[in-house]
Amino acid sequence: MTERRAGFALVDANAFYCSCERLFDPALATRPVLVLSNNDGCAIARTAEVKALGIKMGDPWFRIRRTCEENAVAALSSNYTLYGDISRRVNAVLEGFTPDVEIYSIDESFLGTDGLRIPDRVAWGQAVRQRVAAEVGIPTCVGLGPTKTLAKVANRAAKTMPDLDGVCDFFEPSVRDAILSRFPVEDVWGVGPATERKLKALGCETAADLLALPERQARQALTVVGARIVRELRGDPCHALEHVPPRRKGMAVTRSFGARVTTRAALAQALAFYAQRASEKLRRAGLCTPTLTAFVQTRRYGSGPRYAAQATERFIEPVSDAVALVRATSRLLNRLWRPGLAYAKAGVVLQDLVRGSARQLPLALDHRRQARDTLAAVMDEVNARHGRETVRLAATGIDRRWSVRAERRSPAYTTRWADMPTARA
Amino acid sequence: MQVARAIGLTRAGGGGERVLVIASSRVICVLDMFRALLPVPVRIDERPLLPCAPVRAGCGFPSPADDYIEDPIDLIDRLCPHRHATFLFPIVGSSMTGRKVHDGDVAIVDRAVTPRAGRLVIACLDGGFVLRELRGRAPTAELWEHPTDRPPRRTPTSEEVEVWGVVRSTVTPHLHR
Repeated sequence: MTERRAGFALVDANAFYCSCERLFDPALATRPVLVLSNNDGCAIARTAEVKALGIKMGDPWFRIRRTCEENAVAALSSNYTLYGDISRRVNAVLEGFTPDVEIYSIDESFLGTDGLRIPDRVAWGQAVRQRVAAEVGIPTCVGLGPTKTLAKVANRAAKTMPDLDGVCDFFEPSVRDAILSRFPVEDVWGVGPATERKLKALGCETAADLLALPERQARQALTVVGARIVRELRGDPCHALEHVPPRRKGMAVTRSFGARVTTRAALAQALAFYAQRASEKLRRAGLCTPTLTAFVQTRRYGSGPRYAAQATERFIEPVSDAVALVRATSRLLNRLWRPGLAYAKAGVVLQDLVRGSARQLPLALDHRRQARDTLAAVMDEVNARHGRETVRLAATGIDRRWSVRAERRSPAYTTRWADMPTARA
Repeated sequence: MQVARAIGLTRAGGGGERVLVIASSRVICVLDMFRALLPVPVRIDERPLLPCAPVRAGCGFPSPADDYIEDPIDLIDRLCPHRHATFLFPIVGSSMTGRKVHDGDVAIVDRAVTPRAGRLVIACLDGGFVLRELRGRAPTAELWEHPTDRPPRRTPTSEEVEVWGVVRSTVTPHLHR
């Protein structure tokens, strides 16, 4: 009969970025697919065939390029516009199963199974997979368990063990015990390299070893955080679903340049562009920032002189409009700029963010300030209606030769009219 | 978590704050503040942007139409009932004119609809997409062309037919730019 018990399901897309690419290009169905990070730097998503070639997460492109070419691997630049839209669609399907959905990352979501009428958990997991695959076209795996940590381990098992057919249920004690006793302790959610070293010193090799660790010993070796991991592994929930994303305390817009930047004008443009992006993000989240930190740096490796510097400006009152942020970057660049260097990266960091409505109201007489707020609101509106960057500040540059390299990016199939996939009739 | 469906949302104030409305002209509060007031996390479904008369809270005469306001007809709702499963494909070619699909149309494809014999589908063929009529059932399903000037014919396929999605409708523009 029906069963009511606290529990979680973790739904995780398989090689999500690669699956998105394959969905809109049937020619990729039979080819290994690899997705590269911003600037086509390194591998960040791989299909099973690419993994079989020995290519690892984070492998730099220049090192794997040859292998990829020899094996007809389709190597693509990341297309976050597409992945973001498909992720939204996947979550819309999941919300059809329960309103209790926590979007944990672009390709994984926790579902609260508490209070759902699930007579057969494995069949339910298969139904979730089947609907996401049918309606959005993305393959997923489902891990179920009484805690988030266990659901996460179950999901990993569902992914790596073919006989489970994509669904693993840790409410079943025999399944849980068998998998935990073989599950490497460093792969448990929350165990980082430092914790791993401590655990191995204590003789903990598997998740089952960690689970058997007396709580006091766990707390001593791993602090409260580690003790919580142990409790979660035992099936005692310490983490609930987080529906409202925690308010951001800070944000950063930083990029490595697509080509080395040697002129002051180009560096100023890049910083202005990042500041404008940061302003968009702030305004979308309804936040303001009291400070802006800009940083610039040269390459950390290789030949040539090295340089890295940062500087911070504090605003009289928290701001969110692009004009204020861009002006700050231009003042900060006066302090940061050194000629004769090849800059590789720059960025803008905002900290101690406050709610837009919580900030002190500007003096009523500050007309210029009010005009700028109105301008920012109008720019947001125009850009929302006519597409990103329809209106932008001239300081952010026109040619942008420094901008991110994405030579192999696929079209924005689902978000731009001109990029839609065509069908022959 | 609970989902609150905003009965109405409008924009008011110089900053364009989003305001939650419960009756057609009564302002409750700024959306973000509303969220903060609630004791439990609530996801606010902001989709139904009801036709709210431009809100002037508490001044002037209420409009006599206030109690009669209805949603304007929503074409998207009618054409794409499953928005998360709906994808658009521009059509190139004239082999389906017998089924009223023309070169330059845009097909509205709904992946939440089950492919059945007789339905128009988008299928994967030779590394691309085609629009065809589906006949038969998997694993022996067939793709058929319907030109106007020739009799229908089967599209040769080397492998099992892979249906990508079902065509719900097509849009034909009649004013060409």
